[in-house]
Amino acid sequence: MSTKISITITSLLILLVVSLSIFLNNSFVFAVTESVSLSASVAGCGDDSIGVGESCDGADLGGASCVSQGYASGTLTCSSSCAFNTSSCVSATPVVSNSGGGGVVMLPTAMDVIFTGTTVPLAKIYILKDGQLAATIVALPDGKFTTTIRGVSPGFYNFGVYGEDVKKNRSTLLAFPIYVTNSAPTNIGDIVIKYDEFTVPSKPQTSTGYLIGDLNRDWHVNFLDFSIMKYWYTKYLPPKHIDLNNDKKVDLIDFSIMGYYWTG
Amino acid sequence: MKNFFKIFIATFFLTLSFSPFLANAGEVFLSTKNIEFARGEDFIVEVKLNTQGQQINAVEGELVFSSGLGVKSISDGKSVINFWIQKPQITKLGNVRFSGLTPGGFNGDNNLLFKVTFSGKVPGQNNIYLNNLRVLLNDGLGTQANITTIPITVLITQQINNEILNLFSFDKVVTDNEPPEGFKPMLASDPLIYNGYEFITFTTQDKISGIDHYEVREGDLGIYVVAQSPYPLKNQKLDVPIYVKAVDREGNQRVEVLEPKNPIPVSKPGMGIFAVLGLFLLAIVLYIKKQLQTK
Repeated sequence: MSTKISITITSLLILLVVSLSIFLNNSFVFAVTESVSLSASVAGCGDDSIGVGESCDGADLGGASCVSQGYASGTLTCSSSCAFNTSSCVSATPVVSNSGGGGVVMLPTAMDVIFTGTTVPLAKIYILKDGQLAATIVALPDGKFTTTIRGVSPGFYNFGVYGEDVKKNRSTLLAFPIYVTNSAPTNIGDIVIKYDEFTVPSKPQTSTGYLIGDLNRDWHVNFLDFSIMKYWYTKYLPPKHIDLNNDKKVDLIDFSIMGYYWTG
Repeated sequence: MKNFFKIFIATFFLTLSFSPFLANAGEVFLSTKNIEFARGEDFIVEVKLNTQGQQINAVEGELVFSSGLGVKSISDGKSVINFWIQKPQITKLGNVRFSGLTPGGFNGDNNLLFKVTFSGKVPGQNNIYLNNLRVLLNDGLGTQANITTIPITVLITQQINNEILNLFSFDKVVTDNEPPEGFKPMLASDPLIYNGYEFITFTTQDKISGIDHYEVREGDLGIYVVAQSPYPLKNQKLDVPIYVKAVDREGNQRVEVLEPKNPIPVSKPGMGIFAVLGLFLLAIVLYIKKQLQTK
C-alpha cells in the first residue's frame, strides 16, 4: 500500500517538475519547427529610403506615425511592400463628456488634410504639421505629388511644406495656416515648388560642417534642437554653435534663425 | 512763427501717415468684445497679430495691465505659435510674459497669440498694453519686423456682477471634452545640456482650450511630477517605462509611454531551482513514506 502511494506521489512529482519546466523554461518542448520564408520585393522598395510610390521604406516612415494615420497611439511600421502597417496602432478611445446628464459618449471628430501640388521630378516633399514632420512623399517623374494626413482634429494648424531635390538642395518652408473643420476634408492644393526655389543646401552650411540650427548634429533641425536651445535661453556663455548669430547670448533672434532653417 | 510751427507739425504728421514704412507696419493688437464691464465680471482679451504681409516666425513681449484687473486664466488654445520658449504666464504683478516660435513663419491679419481672462476688481479705467515687444521676420537673420501696438482701456463699473449680467456676457465659456493631441516623447542626450545625461523632450497641442501642463512619471511605481520639456531623467539606466501626461485647461488628459531603452531582462529560472524544488519535494515524499511505514 505504502509502495503504491509512494509511486503515485513520485509520478506526480515528476509530472509537476516537467510541467513547471515547460511553463517557465520551455526546455521540454520536443516539437521541431521549420520555417521557410518567402519574400517579394517591389522595385526600389527595401533600400531604407522612401522612393516613388512608396509610403515608407524600412525604418524610414517619412515622419508618419499612428497619430498621423488617424489612430490615437501605437507603433506604426512599414510592410515589405513599403506601405504603412497599422496593425499595432490603437484606435481613439471614446471620450466621456463630463457635462452631466448621465455621461454622453462623444467620439472625437477628425478629418483628412489632402496636399497636392507640383515640383521638380522626383523631389522629396516634406509635410510638417505645427512644426513636426507628419509625412514625406516623392514626387512622380512628371513632378506631381499628392499625400493625405489622416485623423486631424478640427482647429487651427500651421502646415509647412518644403522639397528636397535629387541634388539635396532644399526649398524654403512654405507655410499654410489653415483652419481644419470637421465638416469636410481640407484640401491644400496647387502647391508649387519651382526649380529655382531649391536654394538652401541640405549639405553642410556652417564652418563646422553641419546644418544651421542642427544643434545635436543629427542632420535635422527640429524640436530636439529647439529643446537644446531653450535650455540655453537667457543663460550666460552659451556654447558657440548654439549662439547662431554670435552675439554671445541665446535669445529670440537665435530661435528665429532656427525657425527659418527648420526641417522638422 | 506760430503759423510756421503749426504747418511744420501738420506736414510732419501728414508725411508720417503716408509713409510707406508705416503703411507696411504690422500690428499687435488687443481684442475684446466690450470696453465696459461690471465689477467682478470676467472678460477675455485676445492678443493678436496682423502681419501686414510680412512672414513672421518669432514673437516675444509682455502684456502689462493695471492693478484694478486680476487674471483668472491664460489660454494658448488656437494660437498661431507652435512652440513656446516661454509660455504666457504671470511673471510679476500686472505682467504676463510670453515668447514663442512658429517654424516657417505665418502671415495674415488676425493671428491669435494667446488670450487672457481678466476679472474686474477695482472700479475705474484700466489700461492694458504691450511692452518690450519683439516680432521677428522669417528671413534666416532674425530681422525685427515693422510692428506697432495699440493699447486698450477698459472701464470697470461700480455695478457688481450678478447672474443676470452673466447671462448677457459676451465671452462664452469654452467647452472642451477632447484630450490633447497624440504625441511622441523623444529620448536624447547631448553633451551641451544636463552634462550629457539622458533627457526627454515632449510637446503637443490642444486645439480647443490649450495645454495647461505636462507631468512625467518614471517607472510603473513612480509618481507623476509636473514637468517641462526638456526634462532630465532621474533614472539614467533607462530600464523603466516613462509616462508623459499632457493635461489641457479643462483637465482632459493624454498619456504617452516611452518604452525603456534598456529593459531589465526577464530572468529565466535555471535548472538549479528545479534541482532545489525536486530535492524539497523528494524530502516531502520520504517524510510521507516514513509516516506511512510507522503506521
